[in-house]
Amino acid sequence: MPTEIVQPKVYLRTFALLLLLLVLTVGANFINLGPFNVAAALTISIAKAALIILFFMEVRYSKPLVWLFASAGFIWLLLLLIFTETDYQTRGWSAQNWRGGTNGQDHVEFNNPASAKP
Amino acid sequence: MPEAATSRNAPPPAREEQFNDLEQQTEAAHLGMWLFLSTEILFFGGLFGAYTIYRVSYPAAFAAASKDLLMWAGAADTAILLVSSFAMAMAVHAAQTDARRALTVFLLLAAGIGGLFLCLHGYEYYKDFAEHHIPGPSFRYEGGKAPANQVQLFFLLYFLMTGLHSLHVTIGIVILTVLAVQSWRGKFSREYYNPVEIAGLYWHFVDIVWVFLFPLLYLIARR
Repeated sequence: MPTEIVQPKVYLRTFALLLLLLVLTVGANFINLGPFNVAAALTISIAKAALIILFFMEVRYSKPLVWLFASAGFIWLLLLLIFTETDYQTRGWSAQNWRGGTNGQDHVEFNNPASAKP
Repeated sequence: MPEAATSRNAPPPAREEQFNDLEQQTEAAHLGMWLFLSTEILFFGGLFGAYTIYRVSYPAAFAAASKDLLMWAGAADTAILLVSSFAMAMAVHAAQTDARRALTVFLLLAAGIGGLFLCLHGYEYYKDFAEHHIPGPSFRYEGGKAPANQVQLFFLLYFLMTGLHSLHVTIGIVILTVLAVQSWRGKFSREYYNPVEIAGLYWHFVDIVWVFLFPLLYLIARR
């Protein structure tokens, strides 16, 4: 909730920046950055989302309680992604698999009786 | 209560009686909307989580499947939604400055550009349909670079995520159109325009979802 009226030029600048970032994200797709292609795309997306939240959604001009509410959802989402990925990416690491022999394709075999033998 | 004697077409009293002042009323509305948006973040978040798991598991199939999407249409989708968001922000400004005519125009503009998004996306769906990329018995993938069932998984996630997003766009268009009619009838004033701001928050949120969907779905493989 803004305490003052946001001027149109602020919206216009935000909009111009968002378009620039869109061009950047498409452009980055034509350059080979290896694994950093994903990182670049996500960084640009987060920057775009931050611009929209801060200026279009006027969170920048809002009270701390609105900041708290606005960040809460994203923090929970981060937890959801981190814990889910931690689980899926480490399923092959159970003790009986430490000696290898899972061929790296193991996360679906978690409940496989063959791999559950001690 | 002097406000009690208002006629049917007069603007309603700006402040509901349970609030101390307009500021408190606006703050409560914003907090409520952000609470709803948090649930929306997690609603979409489940799909983003599923997407992450399968993209990490089948990177080659996801890259091959992503190449079959129309990247330029996806980029245009993004631009269209950004323009629509800008129009929405201007609508809020029009409400704050009591510019009723501008408010109506900007609301209709935001809704109309949202409609343009649905048209373009509908065209993409049509292309996917023609190429047998709709998951199900008629699904076909002739690329040969990746197992067809893994590619099908990508398209399943693609249709679920963009479908849920398009549903949100459709709901947003209806809301903005209703608000435009109400604005034309003079329901909003400098004192009372909470519905415009709240609808704006929703509309910008829908834009944010697309900002993440575009690179995750269209830009996996380098062109």
